[in-house]
Amino acid sequence: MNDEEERRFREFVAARSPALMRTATLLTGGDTHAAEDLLQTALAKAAGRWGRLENPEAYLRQVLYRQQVSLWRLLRTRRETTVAELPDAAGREDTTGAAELRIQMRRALARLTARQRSMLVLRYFEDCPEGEVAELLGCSVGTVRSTTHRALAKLRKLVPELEPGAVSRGPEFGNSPAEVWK
Amino acid sequence: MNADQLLRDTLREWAEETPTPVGADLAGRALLRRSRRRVTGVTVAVAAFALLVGGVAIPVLAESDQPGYSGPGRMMDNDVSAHPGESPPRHLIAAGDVAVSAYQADRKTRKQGGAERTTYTWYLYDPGTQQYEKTDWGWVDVAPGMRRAAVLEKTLPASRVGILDMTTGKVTKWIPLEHKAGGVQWSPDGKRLVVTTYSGYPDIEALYGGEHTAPKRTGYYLVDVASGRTRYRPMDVDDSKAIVTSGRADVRWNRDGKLLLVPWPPGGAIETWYDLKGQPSKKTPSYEGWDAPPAGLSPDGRYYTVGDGWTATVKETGTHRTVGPSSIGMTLAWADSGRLVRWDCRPDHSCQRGDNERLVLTDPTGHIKIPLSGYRYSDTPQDWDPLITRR
Repeated sequence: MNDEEERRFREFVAARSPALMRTATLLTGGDTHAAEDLLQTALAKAAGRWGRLENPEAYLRQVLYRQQVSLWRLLRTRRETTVAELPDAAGREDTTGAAELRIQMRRALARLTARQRSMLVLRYFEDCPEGEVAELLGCSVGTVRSTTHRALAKLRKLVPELEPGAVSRGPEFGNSPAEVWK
Repeated sequence: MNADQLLRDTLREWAEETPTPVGADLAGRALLRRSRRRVTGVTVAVAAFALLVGGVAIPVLAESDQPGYSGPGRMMDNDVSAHPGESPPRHLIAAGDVAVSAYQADRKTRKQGGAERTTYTWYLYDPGTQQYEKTDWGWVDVAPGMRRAAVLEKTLPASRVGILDMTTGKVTKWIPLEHKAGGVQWSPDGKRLVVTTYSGYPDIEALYGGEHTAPKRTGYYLVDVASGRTRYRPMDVDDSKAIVTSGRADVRWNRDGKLLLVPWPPGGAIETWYDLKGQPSKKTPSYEGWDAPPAGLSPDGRYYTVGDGWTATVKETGTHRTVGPSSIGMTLAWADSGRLVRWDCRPDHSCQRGDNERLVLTDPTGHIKIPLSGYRYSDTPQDWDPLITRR
């Protein structure tokens, strides 16, 4: 990496690391230590091929997602995992119970496997189509669908309020990917 | 609000609360690692000895737990218990089949007339509080299964060995010793002990021929724990070729519990293996020995680790091919056939054993790493030395 490439790399990291850190935090279920490790790994890899990357952000996101799945394969955590402390719902202004429900959702998300959580982050946070998710994670569209289905089913089990009837259905509910809530 | 929207809102809100990365200069750290990787690559090209050069070729971890930093980061399940923010650890460090069952900390060295006397405190895992608790024991070794510990009283050498129930914290049996003991180790099957006896406090190093001499090993006991029966074998130390005489030269078990390793036995050898009847063994266990990395052979025999006492390299048993990058931090134990617990050097620091390194769980190639503990730093309150036990 020459001086000019290094300057561009530093500028990129300064500009994009907060957003990448947000993604990493979601992928690790709220564990900011693990998220920072994950991001550092991805940045080191990106630095190694900086001059050849056409779309650094896309590359970094791919590394983040794939690395996270690999790490958890190492950990073999199909078991449930306790991770970072989650904030208390108390003190929030939202008095409708939605804030409390979102806290429950975080706890439930933290208990998914890394692969399941990655699928949901890609589909619901990044708004990626199924084909893009499949390409990013290196799996088939069918795997994306089935994993998302299982992830949502587990969320529903962990947060009973999500059962049909407990939460009102919006107009898009019932279509992919929301149909798997049922 | 529908379920779709709830999930989207949850993720977005959670993301917005994410703090900026703890360690400063993410870009600088990433670039530094690249630089280290290049240096390692050049060294490998120059000489085969590169395998023994310190330095981590594959950078993975961020240094998010510098001294003074504390955060909620932790990871626990039935397989892995990691506390990357803790050094020394307060809560259980474990992965796969192994765990940190105890550790030494609060190490102090006092110099006097060319001799150095080191003292330390043992912290032992308490299954009740699920934390490591400070103890007053002079020496500790935990039996496989982590239910019992063998303990020696302060100040070493001690005149009896105790069997401690780790659940209650009480000694259930004292076994008296005619010769005073400075070290003890459980056999791999948890039925016997080898207790090493000394003429004085064992953790003293002295310059050979200097004003002071280090106390010496005098022999060892084989102890049957159930019956309390002991068998003593005198075994002096021959360190006449050494420049520095080190008191501690504990006898220890080999991996299958059929042989005992005696360092510096009479006659001038560095080490000799004895069978349990006290006869020198003609067969030497592979990948074990005084200078071998503690991890040794993987449970399935596919990999082994070799080292220089400071760093270690993982190799394939069948081909002797090095797996993954060049030398890495000392390999301590196999969590199972595919995963290792070892020390890992802090990426932006030069590493020495005992300094700037933390425990990680890694695959044999070293490409994937999970931090298990915080970094330890020599001569600071973060200085500690783990005892790893099958759980």
